Amino acid sequence: MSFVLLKKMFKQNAVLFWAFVAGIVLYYGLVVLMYPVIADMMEDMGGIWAEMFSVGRIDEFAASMLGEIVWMIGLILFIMLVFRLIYKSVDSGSLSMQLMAGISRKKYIVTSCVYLLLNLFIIFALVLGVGVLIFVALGEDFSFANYLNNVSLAILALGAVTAISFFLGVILAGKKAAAGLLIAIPIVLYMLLMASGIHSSLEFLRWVSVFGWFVPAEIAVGSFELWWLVMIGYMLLIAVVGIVSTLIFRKKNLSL
Amino acid sequence: MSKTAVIEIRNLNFSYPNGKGVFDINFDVRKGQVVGFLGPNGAGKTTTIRCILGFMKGTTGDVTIDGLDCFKDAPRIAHKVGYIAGEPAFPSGMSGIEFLNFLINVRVEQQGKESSLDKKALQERMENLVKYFELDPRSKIKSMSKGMKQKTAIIAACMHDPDVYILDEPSSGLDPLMQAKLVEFMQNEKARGKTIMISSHIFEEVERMADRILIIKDGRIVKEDNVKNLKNSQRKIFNVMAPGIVKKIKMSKDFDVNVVSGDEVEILVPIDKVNMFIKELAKFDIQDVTQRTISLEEIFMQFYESGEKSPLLTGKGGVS
Repeated sequence: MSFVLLKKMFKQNAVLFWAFVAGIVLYYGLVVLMYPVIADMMEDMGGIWAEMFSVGRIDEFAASMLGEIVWMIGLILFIMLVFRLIYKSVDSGSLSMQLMAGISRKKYIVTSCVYLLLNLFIIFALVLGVGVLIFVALGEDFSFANYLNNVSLAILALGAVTAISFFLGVILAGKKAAAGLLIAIPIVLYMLLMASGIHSSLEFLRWVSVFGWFVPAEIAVGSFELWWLVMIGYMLLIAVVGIVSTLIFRKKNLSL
Repeated sequence: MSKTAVIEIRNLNFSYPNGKGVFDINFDVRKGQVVGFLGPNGAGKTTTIRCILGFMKGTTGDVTIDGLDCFKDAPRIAHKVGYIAGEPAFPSGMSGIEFLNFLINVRVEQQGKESSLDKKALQERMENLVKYFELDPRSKIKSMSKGMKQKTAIIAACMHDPDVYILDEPSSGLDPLMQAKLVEFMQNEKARGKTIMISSHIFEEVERMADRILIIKDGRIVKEDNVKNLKNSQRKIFNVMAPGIVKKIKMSKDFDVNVVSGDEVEILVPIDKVNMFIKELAKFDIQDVTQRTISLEEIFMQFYESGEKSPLLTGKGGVS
């Protein structure tokens, strides 16, 4: 790994990252201020909409704290980061200068992975910390263990989708027409999750979407006991995709 | 590896899905030598350079620098090579000085343990290059002009004092004054024993720097020779003005004659026939005669317009 490169990645993407963090904080602010109203609105929307947004247990404040918007914000942020780190740096040719300074491809890709994991960890700490502070401040009755599981799984789900984006970035780097695909596939995964809630016959789509491997509301109320299995699944997916991406990138012909 | 070869390419093949690529490329660049690599867009220059820099791996063949495999040992090769691209791309959001310092820090981090690389020495050389190329590195790269970006790329490639330079259209975007400075810099580097490979469409630049020329056409090396031989092997070009010369001329079939105007002709004379040509010329009432040596550009154009059997290259006579 290159610490100089890692530092540059943090500096280069700082504005983007903190803008998204501000978006999450803003979301929390809205949830805290408007929670009863939001809950009523979601109930008024009816079954399909509530199912589509996986907020069947919207009456649980803890579930709402980790709603779809946090996922959406995270999804957009991490797709953009992967796009900048891999696809754009190859497509624009700026990677050539860094490789010619003596950074190996393996180090570049490993440093990028570490950077993304650290960002995931910062988001995790932020969501966990701010959430707990809000619960305590509002005197809400909540289970820390359930909330921790919930946040951990949500961030790991984001990590898994980021890993898939990363893999696509490595595969598609240098193919100019493929940028749209890189952005579209993670969003399609998310839309599959939404579609799975429309009708029982589409339930299977939930398992195609890596987001659908768990339901946040179920964890929030402690009714989902297999959280550890899903967690291992996400970790394995991240590790395998990360290793495969590194191996491919090391051998890839780069049109720099 | 040849005794003094620094860059060595053996049987390199690389093909793209559209059938283009490079085929059976073989050449060496010896230590201290400057090689000009000429060919139009799409001939295979950039693909060859990418294989030398380790960005691509040939389908078959070997590409080495100082005996190191350019693909497998790319990070080690990067310590030895300075690469200037014609259209350099930079990481976003950085100023010139931030970018150059970033590269210095990367080099020290990556090479520091296995070499005597000294951050202070690198910074000193960078500052000298900034002065030499008259760059203001404080502004953001994004807002720099094409020439300023090119200067930044040149400094980035030269500041670690590499042994080998790979230059791909290095003076692209530079004004004539800076182009001359770059040539002067590279000539100094050559005098210091550095090995240089230059690909450029500015033939004058290549002619001033190169000892040897490689011409690539449709992915194959079609000519490889040193500049002196290449030019001496070509015919001399004489422009002659004499009344009635066009009608009266009865030159030997060894000469090619192109009519310029009523009383002016351009005559291509093989090197070994110059004496004979002068004797023939003495028969005319000469008003003016000028002679020039064929330029590298003309040699190149002949290869591309009509192949190696062009009259200009082979000495086959004719009148047009």
